Amino acid sequence: MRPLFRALQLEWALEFRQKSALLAGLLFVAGSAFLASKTYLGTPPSKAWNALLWIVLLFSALHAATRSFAGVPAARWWLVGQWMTPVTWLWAKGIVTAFQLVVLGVFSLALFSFLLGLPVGNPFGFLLVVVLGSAGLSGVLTTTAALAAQVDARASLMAVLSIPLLLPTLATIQRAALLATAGVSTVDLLAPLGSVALLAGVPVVLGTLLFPYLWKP
Amino acid sequence: MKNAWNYLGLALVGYSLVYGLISTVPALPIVNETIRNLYYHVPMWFTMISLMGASFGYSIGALQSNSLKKDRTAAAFSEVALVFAAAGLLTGMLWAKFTWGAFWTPDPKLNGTAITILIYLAYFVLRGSVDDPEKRLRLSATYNIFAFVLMLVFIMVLPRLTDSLHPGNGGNPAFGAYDLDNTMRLVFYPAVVGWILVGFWMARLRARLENLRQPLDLH
Repeated sequence: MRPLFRALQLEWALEFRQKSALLAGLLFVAGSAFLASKTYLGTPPSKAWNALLWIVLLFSALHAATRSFAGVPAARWWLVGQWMTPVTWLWAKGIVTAFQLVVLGVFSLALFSFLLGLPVGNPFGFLLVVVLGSAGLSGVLTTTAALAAQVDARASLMAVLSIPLLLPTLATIQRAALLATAGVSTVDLLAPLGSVALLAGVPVVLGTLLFPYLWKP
Repeated sequence: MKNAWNYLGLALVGYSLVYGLISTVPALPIVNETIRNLYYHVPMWFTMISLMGASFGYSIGALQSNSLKKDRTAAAFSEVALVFAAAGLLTGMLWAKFTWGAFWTPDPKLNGTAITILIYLAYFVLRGSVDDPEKRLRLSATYNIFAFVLMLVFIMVLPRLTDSLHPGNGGNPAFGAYDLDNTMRLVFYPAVVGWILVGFWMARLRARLENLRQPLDLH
């Protein structure tokens, strides 16, 4: 646990050193939410509202996660290799990315309810879905970001590689989200939330097994 | 006989193609004679998954031994798997048109297929965007392993989330429950085995061709 904690401290410090990048992520969400509100005019029906929210969230998550390995200079791969094992680094990156995605998710939810209204029956349950769902995207996104970072055309590649892998996770998230929208009680949301967590856990295990092979020699 | 398995595959495919058309089938409402498509549509998916499984195995081998040959073989198996995915999709669309009334329905199995095809196309995009063969091996093998396991989990999970029009899902009884009688089994099982053998033959030929091409690529 101790090496992971130290790795987290390092990633955290590095992440907050780039305040402009964090702001860019939030601005991305704000711009998209504003665009959605201007093109829709009024509160969309709950299904359309959900679709808009998750599409905006998916693309801002893609944008945020691409950065997690893309900005890493070659020298740091060497330096980090002296300090910690590849898996520790992957986990630190994944946890920091998950945290960022949760911030983005809650921010988009807040903005959406401000700009487009909140056609949701169980707001607390929906918040849970957004928090767990956006954190759950981190597993696939962090691993594919580590992969795409080693290729030149990384921005487009990131979308191509991760969107098909995210679709099933998004489908389970969407199911939980629509239940919360329909006003299902929080206790009854636990089962669909569990399947979201399970689907989100598989890529974490796989990424942990495979990342040592992705390690830049 | 070096090619015994291949010829056996060809013979079984030939047998199932002919007998699939002339053997007797149960007369069922809605599906009617289209039930014969079972012999052509379903084996495509069995073959696709087997080829993808083999490709997954070669990718693991490639990562462990750093063998470029295994990496190219993995790619060849994925390519042929995509061909079978296309064939499965086309035969399925035809069947859907005559039984469900539309070429494409929002059925979870169809979504699963669409996702699978996207994943494997992404695999080839990834391979195409890396020039260094060693790096291509590392990245594409990792992605292949990652994607194959996720895909398996998903195609097992997705159909359980929503109802499906496919037999054996969403409250519909599986084929075996009501209409796969013994005459049909006599054509269906050989068709599955035959197509898998032929699929592996195609993939091995493709891999051999790719591997033979290599020395010529060295400038």
